[in-house]
Amino acid sequence: MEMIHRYERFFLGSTLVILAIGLVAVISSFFVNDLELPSPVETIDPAELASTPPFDNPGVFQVGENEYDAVITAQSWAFVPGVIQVPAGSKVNFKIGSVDVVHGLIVHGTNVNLTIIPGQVAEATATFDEPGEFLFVCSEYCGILHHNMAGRVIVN
Amino acid sequence: MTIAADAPQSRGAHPVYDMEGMDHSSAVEMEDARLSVFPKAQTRPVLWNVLLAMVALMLGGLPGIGQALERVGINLYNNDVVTAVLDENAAYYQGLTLHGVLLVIVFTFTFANGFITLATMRAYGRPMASTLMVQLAFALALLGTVLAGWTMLANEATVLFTFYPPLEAHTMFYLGAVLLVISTWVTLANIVMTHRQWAAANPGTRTPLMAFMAIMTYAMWAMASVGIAAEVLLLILPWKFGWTEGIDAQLARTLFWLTGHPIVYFWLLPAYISWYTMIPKQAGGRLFSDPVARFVFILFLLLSTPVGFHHQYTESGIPQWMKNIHGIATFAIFFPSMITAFSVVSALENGGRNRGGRGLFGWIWKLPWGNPALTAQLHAMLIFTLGGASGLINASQTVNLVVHNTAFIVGHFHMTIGAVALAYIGIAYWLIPYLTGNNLWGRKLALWQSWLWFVGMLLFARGQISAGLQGVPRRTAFADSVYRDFIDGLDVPNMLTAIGGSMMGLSGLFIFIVVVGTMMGLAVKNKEQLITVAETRVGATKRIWPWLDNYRMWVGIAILLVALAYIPFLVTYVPDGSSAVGAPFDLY
Repeated sequence: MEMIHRYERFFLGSTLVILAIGLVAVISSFFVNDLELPSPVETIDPAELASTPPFDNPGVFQVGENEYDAVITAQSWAFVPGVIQVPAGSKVNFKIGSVDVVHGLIVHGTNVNLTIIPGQVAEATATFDEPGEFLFVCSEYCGILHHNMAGRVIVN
Repeated sequence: MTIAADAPQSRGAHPVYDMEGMDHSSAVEMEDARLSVFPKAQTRPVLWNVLLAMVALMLGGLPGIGQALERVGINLYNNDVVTAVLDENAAYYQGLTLHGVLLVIVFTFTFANGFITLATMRAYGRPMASTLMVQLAFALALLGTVLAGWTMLANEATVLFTFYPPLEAHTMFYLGAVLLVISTWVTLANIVMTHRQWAAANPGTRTPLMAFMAIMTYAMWAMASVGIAAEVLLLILPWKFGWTEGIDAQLARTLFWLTGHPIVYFWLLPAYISWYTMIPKQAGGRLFSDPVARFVFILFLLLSTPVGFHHQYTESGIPQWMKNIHGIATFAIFFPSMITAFSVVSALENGGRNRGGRGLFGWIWKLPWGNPALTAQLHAMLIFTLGGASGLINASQTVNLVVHNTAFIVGHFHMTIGAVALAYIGIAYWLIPYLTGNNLWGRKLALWQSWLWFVGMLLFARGQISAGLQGVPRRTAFADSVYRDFIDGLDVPNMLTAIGGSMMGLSGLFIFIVVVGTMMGLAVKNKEQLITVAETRVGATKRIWPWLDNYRMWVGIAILLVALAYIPFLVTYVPDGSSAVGAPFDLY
């Protein structure tokens, strides 16, 4: 007795093939585009964050020929600093921590998408090849003025 | 095997699948599943649950209209009527919290408790083991709704339905959520007790398919809801009471999402139970295969939970290799839904051909599109197909970096939970008449309701998906934001969102009118109605794959998989106190 009809077998087989192709595509996209997901950096007591290097002195720091560290603290409801200026062609390492609740960081025009959990330092890197202004916004609800938490990357 | 039609009109090129000589012995023996065969003391709470679900749907839907219109600059949250109810400074997010909690917790839990309780009675052909527990489940859900609702309306819990610490809500908000979860556990216990009574009276008989699915659904959810229970009872409440110095936000989120993904399947599976076991007969056909349907529900039990990290790809507290495991498991959970797509559509095709449909697609138009209960669920299936497919996009880790926490996600999950809601509404279109003895009133209006929801939901979701790809964050009062004029290409998406949302609002009004009219008995009273249960083509006896019914084994494997998925994180993530947050934050 045939438990699974041949039409059904064909349908399920196709599904498995589609899923396998999708999985291979996702895995290869990590290597092709040189991507990585946010991973553990370090933990800092949020109450101590503002007095712990490097977050005691947020700002943009040149660390290589075309490379900058953007050290940012997130708090309700602002990023400090709110404006990040770098020359075109710069690689920017975003280092960010929260002093209060959970925030998020989405930098437009890049693949930077971080959840900033109090206690967890978060890092992501993007390269800005073209001059222009790139908005960054808080992407996690953090209180009633969440929608005003934003900043800009200005690429000269 | 020969292929023949149930009715003689099939043609060779597009045969109806029928298997002569197959076992057709599925549970239709209880033809007289009239309401009066079940104790009123049990069917009344079922109706109360359904009505509470409808109230939550109406009240939870209202803020949704405001959110959709806000995208095109029509801000209802400044309106005097609205600010008389909601806090004038927090109105948008307060409304968003109400929208989330009422729709994805209250509406879904109460409807599932009511509908699955009745389905269990119907499947076993006997009352629930405990009348008290049927009533208790409703009372707990009602009390939980009142507590959570009160704190949300008082602006004491404007934390959205995810309530991520260290955002802080009123203690009664958490207690309300816990009571709602406990109401589902009570329902599970009652289902299991009823199963045992039935099994003792029917030794050697296979569990009826519908009852098997009910057990699997609630077993999956009971296991999964341990995460949220632990988050509230072990982390949040001790922190609220000052027993612990701080709360670890990363750990709390991880426990939340241990429950937060499978909760989607807890909403979905009652709709699947309807699609597998009731829709085929309502469409005039039979279900393809009983054992394959059982296998699907087992896969949901096994795979719904060890996938939570796919909601946490952007969180830096979890190593990538752990996220990879959950990512692959997420692809696997797509599989049972694809089997479902095949089984349900083949049953519909069977129905359409039995009703005289011909050709490759001719059967589609022969389905009973004039029946609101069926039409709403057909629309729900179409919406959910897109919801599931967009979910696979979110689960793809690298693509997730583009869409995570943007409006894209809002577009996605409105096509999953929005489809489930429409399926529940479709079920309610026969369930409320069944439970009250009143005919459905306003059938035309109910049909319009379904079409409006269907088109409105797709337009809304399309608008949100486009907006998300332009970088609009989710859960944001966009029109008030400082950056609303600095994101390009939003005119059309925002318009689609507003039009779609308004259509769903109108659809909601139609639901209200139809349900109230039906409850008031405006339509002619009908003779007692039956609950339809589909026959299956491949039968339901012990002979076929008896290992499918080994509950202990499957639950054991499910727990093992959850342990494998979460123990690496739980043992390596040592909150040394340094990541704990000292004091509660009160930001509303």
